[in-house]
Amino acid sequence: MRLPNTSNDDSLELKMTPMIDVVFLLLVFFVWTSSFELPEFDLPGSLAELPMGAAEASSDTQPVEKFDEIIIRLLWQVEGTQIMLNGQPLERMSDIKDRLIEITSLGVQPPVIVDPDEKVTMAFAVQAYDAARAAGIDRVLFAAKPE
Amino acid sequence: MIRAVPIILLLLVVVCLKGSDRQLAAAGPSIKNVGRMTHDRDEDLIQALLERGRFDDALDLCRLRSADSQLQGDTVAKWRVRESKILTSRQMGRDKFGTDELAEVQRPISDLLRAYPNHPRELFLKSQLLDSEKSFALHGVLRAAVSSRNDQIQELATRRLLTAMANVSSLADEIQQKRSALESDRTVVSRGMIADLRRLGQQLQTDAVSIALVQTDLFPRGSADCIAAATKAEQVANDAITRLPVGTDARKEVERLRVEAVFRAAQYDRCDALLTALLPQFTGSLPPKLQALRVRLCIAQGQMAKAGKLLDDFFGDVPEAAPNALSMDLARLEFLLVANAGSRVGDWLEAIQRRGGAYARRRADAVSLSHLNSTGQSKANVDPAVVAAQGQDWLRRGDSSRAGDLLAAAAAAERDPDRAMNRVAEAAAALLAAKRMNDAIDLLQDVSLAKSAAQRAAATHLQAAILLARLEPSGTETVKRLEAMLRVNLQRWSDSSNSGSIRTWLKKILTSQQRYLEAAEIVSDVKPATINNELAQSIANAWLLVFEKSGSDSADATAPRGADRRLVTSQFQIAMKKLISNDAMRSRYRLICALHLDRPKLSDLKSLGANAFPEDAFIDSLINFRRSGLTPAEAPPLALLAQVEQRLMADARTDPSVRPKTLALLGKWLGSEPVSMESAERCLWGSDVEKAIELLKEVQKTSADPRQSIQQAATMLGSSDNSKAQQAGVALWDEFASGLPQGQRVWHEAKLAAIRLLQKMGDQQEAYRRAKFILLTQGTIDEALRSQYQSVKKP
Repeated sequence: MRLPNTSNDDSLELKMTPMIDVVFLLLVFFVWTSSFELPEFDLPGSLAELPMGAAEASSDTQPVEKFDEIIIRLLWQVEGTQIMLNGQPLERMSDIKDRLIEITSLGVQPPVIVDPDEKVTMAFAVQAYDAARAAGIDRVLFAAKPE
Repeated sequence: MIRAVPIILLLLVVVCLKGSDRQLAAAGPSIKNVGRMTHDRDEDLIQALLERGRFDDALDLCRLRSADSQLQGDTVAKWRVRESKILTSRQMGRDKFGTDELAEVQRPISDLLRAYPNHPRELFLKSQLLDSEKSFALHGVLRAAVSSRNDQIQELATRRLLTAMANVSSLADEIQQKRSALESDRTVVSRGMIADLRRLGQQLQTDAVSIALVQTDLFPRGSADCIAAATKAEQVANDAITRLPVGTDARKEVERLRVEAVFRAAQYDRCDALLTALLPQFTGSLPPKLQALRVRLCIAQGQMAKAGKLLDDFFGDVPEAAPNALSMDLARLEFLLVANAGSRVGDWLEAIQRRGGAYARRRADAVSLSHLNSTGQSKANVDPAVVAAQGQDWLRRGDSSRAGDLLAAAAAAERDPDRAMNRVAEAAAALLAAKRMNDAIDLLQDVSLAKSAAQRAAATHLQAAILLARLEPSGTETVKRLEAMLRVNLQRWSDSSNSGSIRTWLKKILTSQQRYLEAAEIVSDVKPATINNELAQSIANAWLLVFEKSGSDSADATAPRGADRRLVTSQFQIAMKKLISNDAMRSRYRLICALHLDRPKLSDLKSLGANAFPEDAFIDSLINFRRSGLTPAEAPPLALLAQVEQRLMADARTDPSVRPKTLALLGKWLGSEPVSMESAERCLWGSDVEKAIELLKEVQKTSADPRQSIQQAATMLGSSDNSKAQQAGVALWDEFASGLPQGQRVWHEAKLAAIRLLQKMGDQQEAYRRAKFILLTQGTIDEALRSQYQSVKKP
């Protein structure tokens, strides 16, 4: 009768096949889940809300703005988009920044609302947004139609 | 057999006529047989039927006779012309003859002309159309003659006459052209037609003159307009005479019309000469129209005896049995009117109706009314009762419009004022029944003013105002007219029993137009002895409203100023000067003075005499407190508390020195502070700013107009010297502005108010920042506002 070999002298053998299986699985997992596009970030702004009248506004719940909001309207026209700041026409995008710098230099931080027409490109609207941000305005909002 | 039917019917009609003639003959020996008037049997028959008013029989006959004939033939044309004539005669006797009725009476002809536009007798048919139109115009003139007050009816009649005249001229031209065309073809047939056309042309010349003459009926006899119209008619007659051959019937008729025109132009001597020259042309008995003209000329020349003899010759002993002649009937009526024959006038009017039918009666009415109007009140030859009787008669027959006209004329002519009021009431009732409300109003107004001494003149005038108010209650013009009428009534009959109601009515009208001061003056214009407690309260209420609407002289700049306060005060004192001898009024005067006169005016106030009512003692103490600061011993009656609070607050606003006493007094009377603007204001005066702000927030929450309450609160806080209150005021101005669209004037005012308040607080930096911000962000600001912002300088 052959007795079982009781000696424990077998060397530790590394089995490569399962290792390779696991590595491949991981590789496939990462390939599938990774993205090669640049990441997008939300603009630090939000949609403007319709103002409430004095009758509805409650001083307990909503502080009253000392300095009224500034509305930048972007009006689509065939010859080019027209910029209006609180009804005053501005010629260039840089004028927005200049005017807003003058305002912020007073030490005030009024909300600025960018209100583009439907046909105005997003790029133009974001340029206006950037100009306001560059002037140091903290709260730049976009106007939207109420649904 | 069928052909025999019309002949049998005709015979039956003739037999009937004969029968009625026999009856007439039996009635009196002088009633004559109809007899033959022309060579045409049918024509005579129709004429006889018309004279008896048997229009339906005449129409049946016409339709029967024209039924079997060729439509293009002369027979049908002749019978259609007769049918139209009958319809026209029937319509003339009716009250209404408008364009619809004209189309109806012209229908037999117009239907035929429509079917056969080139009918051989086209011009003759058109002539009948014109004849109906002439009657239509004449009806309008008669209506205008009995409605001389109504310009609209007169204009309508004039327009109808002018249209008829133009159509006569146009048809005459057409006839002339046709004749010229036929002259070139002188066959036997055309010669006959030319002769017929010549006769038709001559008839039209006569028509033109008679239409021109009818125009004189539109104006009062002897007036400049009447004479001008008569002179024009004479010219038309002269033109026609030059075109008409001597000796023809048409020429004689036109000459008669010329004499008539000269008569109407009031040239009696010339008329006499022309008439004398004309008479020899007529052989045998004179036509009634000429006889009538002779009678009227005699009357006009004052030869009443001669006129009476001419009439007796014609009418004999039994005037009603005399031959039918409307012109003579009317001449006799005129004679009776001028002779002031009293009840015989009324009897003869009835007789005319019986003899000539409705049309004759209408003309008789026109004559009697014309006489009544021309004699006027000074002569008063005719008893208006006669005319009134006619009016009442028409009322009984259901013709309210005509009755109204006659009764109105009787009322205007009545000398006795009280009887005139009775007549005018009847006339107005008749006119109202005829849906002629405007005429009724004018009549009531005019007669009551003309006879203002009558006992019921004021009530009659007021009735006119009531009708006017019903006519068009909300019309601006109506309200203006109504106001004027009511003022006239009060002025004319200031002591009438209705003056109180009229004053109240006028007050309501004036108050509705925000003319509070005038309303108060109207109700105050009464005698002191007539004032009872109720009236005193009504007068006081009117003045309280004036003071309330005129605002106050206090610092409250937002109070509405309906009228100048000083003017109101002086007018109030003038009005009250004569009324305060009445106890009830004096008590109210005392109260109004205490509550509404400003303090300097109170010191001018003289002693008001003894107290008559329990509350007078408190009112006196209130006046004393306002004058000298002497604290009243008793609290005000509950009903007066709110008004007293308002008054004392207004004083304290104007003069800060009285605030402590006012605070103490009101605190005692009102107890714990109620939630109100006034309470908050008092807290501010007492330097309890926290409480004031809290109260203002409460008021804002419960206010029906939060925006206004914010504005008032901001103004109030801003007026305080306390910096915390001022800060709260700035916040409230910001809140107020945030609820308004940017750039509006109110928005700017709120912004500027906040900036001024910041300046007052010494926060120049913040004021500058706000002003500069607005200048930078608001594109379109008017120059005045811009300069206010620019005036805020950088610290």
